[in-house]
Amino acid sequence: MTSGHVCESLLQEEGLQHEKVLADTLLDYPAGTGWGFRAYRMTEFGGEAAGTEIPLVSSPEINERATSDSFRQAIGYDPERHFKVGRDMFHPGHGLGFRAKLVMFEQDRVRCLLKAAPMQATSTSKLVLRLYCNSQLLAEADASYGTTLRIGHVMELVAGDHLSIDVAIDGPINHMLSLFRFRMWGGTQCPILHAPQIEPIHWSPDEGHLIASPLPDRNEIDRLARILEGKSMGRVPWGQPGFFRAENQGKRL
Amino acid sequence: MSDVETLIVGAGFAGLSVAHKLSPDRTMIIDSGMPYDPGQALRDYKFEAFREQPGLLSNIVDAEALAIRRDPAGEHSLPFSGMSVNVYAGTMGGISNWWGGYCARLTAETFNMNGLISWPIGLEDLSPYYEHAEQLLHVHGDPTCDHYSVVAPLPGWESKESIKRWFPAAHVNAQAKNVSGRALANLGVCTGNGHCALCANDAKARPATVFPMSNVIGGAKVDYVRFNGDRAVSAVGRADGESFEISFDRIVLAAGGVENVAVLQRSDLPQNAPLKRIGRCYQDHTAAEIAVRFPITLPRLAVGAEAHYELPELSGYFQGIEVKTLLLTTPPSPFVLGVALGAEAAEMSDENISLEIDKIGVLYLQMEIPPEWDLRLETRAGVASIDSFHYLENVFRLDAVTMAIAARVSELGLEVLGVVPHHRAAFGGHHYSGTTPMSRNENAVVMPDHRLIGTSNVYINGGSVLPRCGGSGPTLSIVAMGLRLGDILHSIGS
Repeated sequence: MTSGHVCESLLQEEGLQHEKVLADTLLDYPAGTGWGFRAYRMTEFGGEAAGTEIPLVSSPEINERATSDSFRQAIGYDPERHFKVGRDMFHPGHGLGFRAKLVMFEQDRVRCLLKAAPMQATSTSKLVLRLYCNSQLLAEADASYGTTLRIGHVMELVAGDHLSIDVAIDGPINHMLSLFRFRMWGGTQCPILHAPQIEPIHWSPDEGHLIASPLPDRNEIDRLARILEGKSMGRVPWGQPGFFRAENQGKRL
Repeated sequence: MSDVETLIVGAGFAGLSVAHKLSPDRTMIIDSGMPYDPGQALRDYKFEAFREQPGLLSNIVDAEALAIRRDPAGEHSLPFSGMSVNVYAGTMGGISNWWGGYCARLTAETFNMNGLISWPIGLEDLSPYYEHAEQLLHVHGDPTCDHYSVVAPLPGWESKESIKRWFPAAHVNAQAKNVSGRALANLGVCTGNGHCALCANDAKARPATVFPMSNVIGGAKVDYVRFNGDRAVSAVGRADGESFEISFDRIVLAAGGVENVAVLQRSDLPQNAPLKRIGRCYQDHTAAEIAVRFPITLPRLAVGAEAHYELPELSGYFQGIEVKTLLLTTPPSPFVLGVALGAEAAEMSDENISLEIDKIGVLYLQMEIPPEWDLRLETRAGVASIDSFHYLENVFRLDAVTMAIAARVSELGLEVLGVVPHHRAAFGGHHYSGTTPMSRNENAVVMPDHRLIGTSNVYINGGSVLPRCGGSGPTLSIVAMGLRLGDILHSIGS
């Protein structure tokens, strides 16, 4: 698991019940791992993730944790009632609000349900979701602004199959990306997803919507930080003698 | 014969405000955590935690989270889902210990709003309790009052004249300061660091500095409530590794928007209790920032939330979502400044950038996650899961709100330079609310008197009973509701 990912775990069938989450456990990974907001926050503070693409690393530990008895117990998995444990993935930071669910656990076989909610495009955008397996197009769905794309296609994959999803956006978007690619591998590997940084957006009064813009350059951010530090900002004299005068206590009530 | 007349579970603002109206001789308050000392937490952060786990403490915000989450027993934490940036607090008083002190009443529009759940009482019903709560928290309730503080003139009130051209209704925030005897030496001096959970001056009001804590028992965790018919008879839990059972005449659950739900979901509730509605309609806040260029030099008052200007002209309901917009008086972060200046920054001299900084204001949009999105909170199996999917399905609406406010800024003749959409990455202001709501419709979990439906003596207070929080933080309302519940229980007697 890498920064920029949020990995949730599901045990319910598609759309039937709520999510069960064990994300905080996942957050306790060593340095260099984490999740989207942490990475974003580091970016904001000029941290090490600023301006860089977050490394893509598969994580056998997470997969092992997801299949362990303690994990199943933690999320309430009941083998008598649930024959699958799912893994839900989405990366809220990239701005597309994309979500896909990989339902697994049938020995080395994988059943997959996919759902995407690319709600960040503008009202004039058209969106196409395409699902590929080993480069073969399996399913395709169209949607417009704010709707949820669902590919109801349920498939079975064997370990090692390469599953990918493309979200093609035709029209203005808030995010600078015109193509977002999800890549997943069936079997025992952890899903891997391309996780671009969240982008700032600019308001365009002429076009009437928010437009993406590139992240500020890291060196430029450092320079701005130095300029800010060098400026003398006004500081109210809290704590100076006499500031909290006795006559002010309770005065307004 | 019961052990105690009233058992209050939780020593945060929600529980202590109820206890404030009850006889201490007949009331017991228990809390799973132990007293929290921000100064000690700061020292721990510097000298212990950082050394032990340097990789996890990438910045001070993580340190705050670690400090407030600390739980001496080490067994109570309910981890949240990844998209929520909330922290499960293990200290006495819970998440009440980590706030910026921003104290505002809910708006009349919020009280009048019709929705999936809606307020069964009006602003006028709560107003006397708001006034009492404002006295306790040392803030003034009238935002049109220039000083807006009972302690001293707030620092921004004079300089707000400079922005009146665009925002004639602008006023500075009311902020609850720690002026208790404990902080007498420095009267809760705020140094504007903005990391209130690790403030060595303990500058913000916290439960322990507002209410007397003499009858609070710490380290006692309630697992579940035992019932006899529709009547709760005892609370079962653990303290110091030992199990306990406390019998009572009535119980007040005031353990927070998460733990209230957790205790109820662990209990074998009476048949008529609305179990399926508990944990629904989770509410919270999320945010975006808009960088704006002003044609004037802006006042900079680096004292954190205390001197920020609330802008009624850019606040209110947008498409069913209430937003509180603040003009920050702290300088923009380097990142926001980079967004504002864009590629032009590389061509500008340091001197010119310095001049630009003086004119760039940051609008902070605190946006409501409304109950209609029906986010679900589940607390079973030791995990607090907040439904991220329903958030994601609706998050595009927050873009629309941001756009509407940006458009309004443009209409005022100000230049919008850029937007930082925090709402796309995460949500959470530690304002977990609405999960056991009162309501004037059939979706209520508690009655207007805070009594859990289907029970005769279980009462709930805290963010979880607020049916709608709007764009305001919930603390002042939680205290006001607690005082109101205290009056109700006092009038009922034993």
